[in-house]
Amino acid sequence: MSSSDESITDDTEEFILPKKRKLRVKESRNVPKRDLLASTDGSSSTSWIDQYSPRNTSELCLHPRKLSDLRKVMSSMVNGGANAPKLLILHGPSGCGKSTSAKLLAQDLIASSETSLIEYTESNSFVEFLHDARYRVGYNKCVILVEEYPNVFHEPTHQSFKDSLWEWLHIDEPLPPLILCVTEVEHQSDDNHGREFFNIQNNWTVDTLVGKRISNHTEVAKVKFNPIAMTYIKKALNRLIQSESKSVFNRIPKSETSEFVDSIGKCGDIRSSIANLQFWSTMRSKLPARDEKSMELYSIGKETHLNLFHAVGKIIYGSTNNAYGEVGDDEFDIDYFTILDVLSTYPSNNLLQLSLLENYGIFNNVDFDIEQATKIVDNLSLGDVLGGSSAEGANKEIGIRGVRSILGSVGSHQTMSKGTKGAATSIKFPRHFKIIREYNRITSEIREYQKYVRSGISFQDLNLIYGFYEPKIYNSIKWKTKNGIPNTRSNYNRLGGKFKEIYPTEGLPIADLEEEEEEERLRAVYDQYRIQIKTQMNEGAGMDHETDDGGLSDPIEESDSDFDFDDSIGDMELNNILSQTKSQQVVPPGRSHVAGSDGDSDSDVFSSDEELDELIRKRNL
Amino acid sequence: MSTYAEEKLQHTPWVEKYRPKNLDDVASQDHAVKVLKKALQNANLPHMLFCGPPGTGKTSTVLALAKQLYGPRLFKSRVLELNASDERGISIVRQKIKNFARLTISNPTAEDLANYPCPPYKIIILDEADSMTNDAQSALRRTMETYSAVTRFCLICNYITRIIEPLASRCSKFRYRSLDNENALNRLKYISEMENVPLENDQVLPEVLRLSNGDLRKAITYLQSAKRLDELSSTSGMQTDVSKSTIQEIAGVVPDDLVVELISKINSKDSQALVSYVHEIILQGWGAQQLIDQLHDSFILNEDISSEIKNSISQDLFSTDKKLNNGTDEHIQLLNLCLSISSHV
Amino acid sequence: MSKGPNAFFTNLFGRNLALSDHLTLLLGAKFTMSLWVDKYRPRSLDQLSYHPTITQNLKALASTGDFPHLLVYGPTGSGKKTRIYATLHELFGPGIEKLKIDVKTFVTSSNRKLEFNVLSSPYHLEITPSDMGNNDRVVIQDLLKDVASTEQVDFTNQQQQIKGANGSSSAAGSKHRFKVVIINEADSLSRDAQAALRRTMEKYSSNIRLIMISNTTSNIIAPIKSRTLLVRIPAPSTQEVSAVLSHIAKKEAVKFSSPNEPEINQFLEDIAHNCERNLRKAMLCFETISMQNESISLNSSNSIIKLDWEVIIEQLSKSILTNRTVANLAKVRVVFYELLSHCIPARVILKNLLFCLVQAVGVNKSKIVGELVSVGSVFDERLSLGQKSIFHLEGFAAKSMVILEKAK
Repeated sequence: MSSSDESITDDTEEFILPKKRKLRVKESRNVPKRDLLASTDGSSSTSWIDQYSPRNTSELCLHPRKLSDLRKVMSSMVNGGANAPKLLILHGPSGCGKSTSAKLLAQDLIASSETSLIEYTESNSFVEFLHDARYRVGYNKCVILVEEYPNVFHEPTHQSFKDSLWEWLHIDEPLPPLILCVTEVEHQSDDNHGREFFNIQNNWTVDTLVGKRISNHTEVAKVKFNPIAMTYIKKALNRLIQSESKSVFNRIPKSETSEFVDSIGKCGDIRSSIANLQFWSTMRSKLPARDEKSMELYSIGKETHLNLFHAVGKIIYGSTNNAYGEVGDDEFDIDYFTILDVLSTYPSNNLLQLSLLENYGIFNNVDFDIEQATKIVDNLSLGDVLGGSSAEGANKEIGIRGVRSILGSVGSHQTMSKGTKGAATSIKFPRHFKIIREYNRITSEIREYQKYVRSGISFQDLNLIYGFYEPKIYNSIKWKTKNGIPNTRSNYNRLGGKFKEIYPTEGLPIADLEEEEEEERLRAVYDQYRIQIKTQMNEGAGMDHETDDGGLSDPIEESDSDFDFDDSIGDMELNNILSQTKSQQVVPPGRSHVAGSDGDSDSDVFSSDEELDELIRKRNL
Repeated sequence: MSTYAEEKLQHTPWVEKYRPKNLDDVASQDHAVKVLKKALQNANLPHMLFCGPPGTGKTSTVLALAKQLYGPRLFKSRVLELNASDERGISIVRQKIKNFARLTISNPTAEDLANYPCPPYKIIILDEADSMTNDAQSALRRTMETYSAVTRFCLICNYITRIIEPLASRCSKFRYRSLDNENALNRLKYISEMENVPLENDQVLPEVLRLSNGDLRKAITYLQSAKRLDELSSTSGMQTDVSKSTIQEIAGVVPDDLVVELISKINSKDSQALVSYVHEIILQGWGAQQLIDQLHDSFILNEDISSEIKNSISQDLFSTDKKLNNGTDEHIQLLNLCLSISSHV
Repeated sequence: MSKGPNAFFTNLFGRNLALSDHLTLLLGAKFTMSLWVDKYRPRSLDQLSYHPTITQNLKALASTGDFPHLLVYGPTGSGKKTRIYATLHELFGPGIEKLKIDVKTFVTSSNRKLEFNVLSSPYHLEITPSDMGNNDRVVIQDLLKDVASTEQVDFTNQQQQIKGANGSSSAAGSKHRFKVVIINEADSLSRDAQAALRRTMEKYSSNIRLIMISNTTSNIIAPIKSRTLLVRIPAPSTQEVSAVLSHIAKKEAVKFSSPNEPEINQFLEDIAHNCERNLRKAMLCFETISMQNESISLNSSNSIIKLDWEVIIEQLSKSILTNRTVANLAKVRVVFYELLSHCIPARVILKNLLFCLVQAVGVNKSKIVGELVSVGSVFDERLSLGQKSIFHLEGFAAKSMVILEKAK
């Protein structure tokens, strides 16, 4: 038995199954399950997914090259090769054989041992699991597979998960091969997340799950799995149909079966294909006559959303290739179908418009008339005014349509560039979210300063006027001598930090605690403002004897209790503490203040609760 | 505490203090008053819809009517007044009205019966009905029918066009005109005599009326504030009477000389001078909205300007007013207006 | 002094809204690094230096028992807040300066927490509605209801305390049986909240007085204006600002390169002018100048220390004037984002940029000035209607470039 099964369940942490992940039969031993199943039951009542899961690597639905790559990495990990990574991450969409490959390869590579693989189950503490797993080396060696995760939606659990992985990477002893399987789910379609950051809450990717720090670590190897090619899926399905022909498929016309296989094979998800096939074959007779609609029904599981970058590319360059088939060279047709395509598949209007603003310049490599650009921006601006989250129809589309029609009329210099995917690589993700993060950070800093030090002065006065003059005064030698302050220590920066330029980047931005800490450390500025706020916070909390009820919910008190102000404290430590404080705040105070001063962030912060807003509006009359 | 209560009474807004006690006191809405008096006689009221500009006595009429119907004792249990600032979503309208309508009618005492008609229904007053959503109004339609046996509705609004047709058609409508100057002036005179307002000359009350645009409530409020300021300055030893400029300051009206100066700058077409003068006005703290109203009067009522130019000026005024209503920056908008008018004249 | 944990629930459309304080900070003489702007802030009406008629009226108001609701308006840095506190000082005595901060938490339906600060003394409290976002109406109503319902009790306590301690000083406490609620930035109150306030003003008029502070009256609805006494506080003139500065200079023994009085006054007036007669800014600017120089040379170029963000916007305007290309538009976007991320309100950016451009275009070009201002007014409106200000800022920059390009 594996150690994970024996360990006592840790109830203190609240574990739930991460969303978006399917509950499946656990299959951790290398006992072929099929034998068990065959002995108990007839074939039709069991899941084909289990029944026909590949028995060895040759049955895998995987490109041979990918398989050999993977084998190379895993065998070096198992045998402790010189360049063996300490952690292997397999990532890709669901149903492309990540964990199956890992399990079968483990079986191949560790044939000697009784147990070739242990798996983490979400009911255990991940920290303990990993701790125990360390000793699965030498005679005991087996592959450690993590496919389920602790409740990473719970921030502290997520943090401890990442910490223990980080620790693992820094262990200086031989380690068993550790493999993470990450089924990536991006929901770009969700309009609401446009107000937040990309994090584990809204996007399940390697970067959000383990953080960029781990994901880019030198001791980590990553293998990306692509959706399985249609030919492989069809091959596997046909093999399955063959063996089930006696009991099931002899009753179904061959043409119908093959048509169905064609329709579901596109999705690139072997698991869902098999499940769909099974469902279809058993339920077929009870369903209405096959028509387009019922066919569609089966492919629901796999909706293909247009990726943001593709959508932006399509609008900027126009596209002759879209879901409605090939269209001619007619400008109007191209525009019409491009927009139709984008709008039907990419519903996040706000994000799209921000991306268009950030990227329209790449058209013809910035070489077009300022008047055209003005029209584009004007359209986007109108789109923003008219296109609130409740907008429909033309109002919602004005920005997007405007950009296409103007750029269409400008005409591209490079005739070849129409619809080329190559251009999409230079498309940037809007920096809006970085700005919001910076905005929130500065807001909360000023708020704290306002709350603890300069109460009674308005936020904007502090930011616009005091924030600039104060440091100049306090840093001056004259002021210091006058007030008897030693010339060395106090050094104020501009309140909220210096102005800094922020640029958009390619790829999705990810809210990353480590990264933030890193930034903080890089800045490593000694700032008297922060120290002053901290001191004041301490005093304030010390004076406060009556907060018996709110204590827990109050981030300020929490963070203060372990912070002894001491002049000798190092800058690094101080910054650490400061950044921790920030991270502990459930709701950064800044987020609540945005409203009146700036319409922009008002909506960012509050309109997530549209229901309430709607109610308020109604009452408003 | 008794002195406190006295003090409090002393500080009641004059608008409340001089609210008409009965229908006869309502100033200059003869037609409506006549009809209502008749209805009062046979104590059979229809649903009613009062519309007209603010401060013309709509609410006063309804309240006076209700008082005359029920007398002070019964008034509380028979009349429900819902205001725009109260919760008035669909559910609230339904709930509050339902609860109120459902209450059984308390029996009037013999004494009340002797003095007042005390008809066997309740009155629900919906003030500022035009700010109700269409949904809420539709919901009201049904409610009105359901409880029509035991309730009468009084809808009060400024703009009848904002009341949905099915609702308006269920009510008898009373249109209130802007108060004509004579009646309103008499009322103001009466109040200022009662309150001993020291007026500088005869021009003050007409000025009050002019600044309040026929809104009697506004006019009375101005008068009260003026009196208060006057009392203040007398305590600090600067005895003065209430003058035109006092009233202007209270109403937040931009002084005439400033407006004249601005117009001459506009006419001079010197953009630099205009930019700096507008800046000065903003630093003085004057409200752009108010200034626009006054610019409107100066330009549009000026006979020397051709109607073509007036046309474009009024369009500028319109768009600036709209933008200001959207909560834009006064400085930019006022400057834009002035520059734009300056390019027309 | 603190009222302690105090939570109540309002059932609103079946949703629970809870308002509670959970942290109280006592403010006192904790902050020693006081600036001139604090040090020379007038505490009482007698110390106020300019607008004597307004001061007189306020004094008279405070002396009668009949203190009305006030709407105090005027440009920033004209001394609205200072005057109000001086008036409160007149009304209630020095107790008004015993300030503390209550951090109130407002929990909305979706369990989102909204924290906002309430600055208060035993006699008043001060709130800023923009802290409350879209919930301002409910929050303010709840808050005022809370104040109104607890006030009665508090007053009796106070009176007893005062009587117990000192019979003669009870005048202030017993005379004014109301608590003052200061509402900052009243023009940023939603229409909704304003409509609700007008009702509240009447309902609680027996024990609450509102003092609303606003930059303009345009965004205040008429019913509120008619229920309040309007007090307009104009910006002080350059001479008045310079008088204040010169008073400080004497007290602080600031050294100038020349003892010539008119020259010094000219210099101080220059500061006032450069700070757009914003007294607060002028005082901070003056202190900065005098801290950076042992002796201030009376050179008019020395009279200005521009704010960092103002400098950024000025450079931005230069870049728009000279480089009118799509490529530059991308650079302009970087600057806009830079400013926005530092909490500079989009409206301030637009306004400053517009006036920088207007100034740079210069005299005798009234047509271009007119066009620029007109475009500015359009995008100013879009800023208030739209959601993401970057679109509108960039739209303004782009249109300005086109106007300037055509005028070339």
